[in-house]
Amino acid sequence: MIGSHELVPAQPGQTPEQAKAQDNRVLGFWIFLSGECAFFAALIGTYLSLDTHTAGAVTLASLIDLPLTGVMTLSLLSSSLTMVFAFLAMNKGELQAMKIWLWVTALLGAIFLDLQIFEFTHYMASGFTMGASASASAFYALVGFHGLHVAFGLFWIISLLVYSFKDGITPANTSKVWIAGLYWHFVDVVWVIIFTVVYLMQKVH
Amino acid sequence: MAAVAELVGTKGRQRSQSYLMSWLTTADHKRIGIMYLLAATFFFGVGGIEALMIRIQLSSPGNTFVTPALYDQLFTMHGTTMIFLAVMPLFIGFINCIVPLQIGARDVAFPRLNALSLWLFVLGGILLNSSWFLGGAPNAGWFNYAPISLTPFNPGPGIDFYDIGLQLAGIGTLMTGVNFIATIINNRAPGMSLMRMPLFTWTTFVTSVLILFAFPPFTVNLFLLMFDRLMGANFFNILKGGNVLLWQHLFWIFGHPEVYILILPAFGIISEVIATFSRKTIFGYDSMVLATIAIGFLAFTVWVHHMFVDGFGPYVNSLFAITTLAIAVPTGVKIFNWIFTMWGGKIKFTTAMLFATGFIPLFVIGGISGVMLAMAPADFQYNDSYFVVAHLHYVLIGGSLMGVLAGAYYWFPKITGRLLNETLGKWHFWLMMIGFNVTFFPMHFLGLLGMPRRVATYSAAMGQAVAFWNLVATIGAFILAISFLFFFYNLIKSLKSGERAGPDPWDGRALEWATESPAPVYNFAKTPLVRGRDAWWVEKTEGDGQLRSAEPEQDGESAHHAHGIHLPTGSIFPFLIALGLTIAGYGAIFGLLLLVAIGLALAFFSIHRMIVDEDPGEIVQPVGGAGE
Amino acid sequence: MSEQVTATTESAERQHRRRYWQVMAAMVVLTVIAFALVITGALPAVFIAAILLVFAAIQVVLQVYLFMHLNVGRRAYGMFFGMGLGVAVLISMALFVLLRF
Repeated sequence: MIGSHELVPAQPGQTPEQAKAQDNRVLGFWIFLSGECAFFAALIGTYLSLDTHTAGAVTLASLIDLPLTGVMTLSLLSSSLTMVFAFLAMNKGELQAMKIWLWVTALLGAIFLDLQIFEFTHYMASGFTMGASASASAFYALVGFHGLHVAFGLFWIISLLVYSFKDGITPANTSKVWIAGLYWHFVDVVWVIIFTVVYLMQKVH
Repeated sequence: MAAVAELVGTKGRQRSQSYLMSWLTTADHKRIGIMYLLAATFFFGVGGIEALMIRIQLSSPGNTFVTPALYDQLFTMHGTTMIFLAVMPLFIGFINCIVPLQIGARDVAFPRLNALSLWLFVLGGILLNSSWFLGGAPNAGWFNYAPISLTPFNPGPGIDFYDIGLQLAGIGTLMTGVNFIATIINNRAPGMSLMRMPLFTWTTFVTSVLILFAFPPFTVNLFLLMFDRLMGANFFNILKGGNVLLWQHLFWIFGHPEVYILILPAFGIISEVIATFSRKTIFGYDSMVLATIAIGFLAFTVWVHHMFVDGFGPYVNSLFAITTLAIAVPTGVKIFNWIFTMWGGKIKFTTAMLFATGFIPLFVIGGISGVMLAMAPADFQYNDSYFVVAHLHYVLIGGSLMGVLAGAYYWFPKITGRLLNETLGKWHFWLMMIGFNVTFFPMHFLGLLGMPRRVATYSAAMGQAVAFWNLVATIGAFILAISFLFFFYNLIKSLKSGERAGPDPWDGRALEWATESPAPVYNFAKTPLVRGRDAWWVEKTEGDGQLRSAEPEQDGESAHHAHGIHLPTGSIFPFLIALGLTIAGYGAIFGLLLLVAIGLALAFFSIHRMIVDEDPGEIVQPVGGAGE
Repeated sequence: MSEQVTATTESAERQHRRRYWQVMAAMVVLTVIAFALVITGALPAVFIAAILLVFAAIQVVLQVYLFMHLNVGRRAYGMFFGMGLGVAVLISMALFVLLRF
């Protein structure tokens, strides 16, 4: 039951209680992410049902700048890669390397968020505001909630970096990095859906 | 409350905190369960008073006891309170108190998250009910349909209270769902395979899965409404391309699983009670499990039957009518299994058993009217009439609430250590049976006579019959209310001076009866070894009447006796997260950005501490008792 | 004995690292093709839309299996995440179909 997969091996010196808590956390987090699927599905469904309802206002298709979306996508995709590298470093006990990879992950996430804020302000300045049309409302709800998830992920990773490794890598704090990583990858998965369904599809017509 | 505290959750643990702090910071599933039950009982009382006011208003045609505006608030708050703040949390209270015991666990998988769920529910409920004093309660029904819930038609803060109060309570419920799925998968005692789990644990598991997938769409829906009302978005505003049906879909995608969230735990309780008091193992255990899973699956495929009159056309309506009718099959399987369990059993009609047996005919009546409503063409006639009110009260009171009460009489001794008074209990049961049927059976007739739901009054021109049956229903409602006075008096009296229960007052079958009443903080002195279905019954009939220990012996003593038992410790941060979010909620409702900022800052600081802090746990020495 | 263990762990680690780079490269390639298809409009719109959806599905699977390590996790993880994806498809498609048409 314990030692659920090769990448979170039982740490030396781990008590049975800690092993159990770690196992619970990873399982609990997968369950939570399953619920998150339903959360984003409701938002995607909302967007799909309203995206043509532009009420005569500016359309999303006329604003989307695919190269910008491409850069955002690449920054988030590569942050997934740096996240697994952080985890590999942690498993080898290399505290410094792990911290560097986590900071790089956070930095890439920050770049993504910064570009998204830039994108949103640009759209709003062009008249594509939350109040402009149902289509705009649905866009901001879906993409905005994803952005909030990225922001919460940043808060989480930086929280761990600043406060959780004062005593180095310990049996107690390894699963925390793993779970933050799961969350981060999930947010990336959602982005894959969003850039396909929202950004690319808008330009296909 | 003081009496409860003396009885529960203090044994074997040192008191280093003040009394209040020890409850605010607790992570003990039994104490959290008790707080759920107490808070939910309070909200149940509030919802009941609202119901009586509705019945007084409707007792005669053209009555002016309340204004139409107040009537709207009353029926909205009655429904919302009963569903979100009374019945569901009552079940969650029992789940918290009992499920960890039934699976032989020391606590839930995430004890501190459990505390967060509790406080989000309590503070969300208080926020919602504070609307009565802060500008008017919500008034658009518990389903809160757009566009009546949008600012142009509803400029007051009532709907915002609904929105944010349920958002808070809903997130708490979602966390409970995650917690109990993880608990049931991971924390079962050795030997407790899935197909040995008691049926209450099984229904809890399926209920938790329903919560996990049903609440997120509701969360989204509440956010969309909040954006429309507070930030000028247009999800439901037709003038800017919005679609009011979007609210209905998202609401019922959540709402239909929600009504199964309200009935499945009752199925579990009824199964436990009937098996115990028939002194037989449950008939058709495997089919019970399968039926539970089937109902859980079908729950997500029927939501459009709440929207038959929206005009989706015959194909869509037929599809959803068929899936709805299909639910009658697993439900029927359950009804027959209960009857066959009683068949040939040595039945003992304790109060708990009376409620369980009373449940069966009442729930069947509600189920049959449900099947009638499921037929789309017929539903065009019943829709929005009192027939639907009769149906939903037969399944929610005759089903869910009877289950809650069976559970209350059955588990009260396990939770408090004292038995409820049986004489008062029987008064409660019989008065309730009479009062309930006198109130709600006439509503079938009222519906067929054409009386609409959610209208503040009716005309004398509707005829003598309508006026007569309404008066009968009102009289019934008061009988029902009096029966609950017996119950509340019984609770208080028995808590103070009830008969001591002992560990196993009913000759029970599942593991919760193998430990002391109330259970010590560590639940079982030694982790039990489960050797069959009806784990405790197996030990009583085939073993030596003692639980086997699953722990390896060291020098003749188990590890826990040598080193003590590791238990989670409490934390104040779950409470502070809920408090911060509630403060932010009030800020959002009244447009006070500073308050929002303060609340969110408090919440995020506390979330940060929850992420970073490690629960050190504490070591408790068992003090003898059962399981030795 | 302990040297041997270290050696295998290290080669396993190198293997992991290489696999992660491969996954990453695959996802970048898919993304670039998808963007290029849309920008150039090289195919009829229906085909492009279909290809985009397939590519998105492949990327989701790669992320979930290889970055989130569902392939080596407990069965319960996959069961719940699978149910989550199922519910997600049901909800989003139902809203799309029932409200758009």
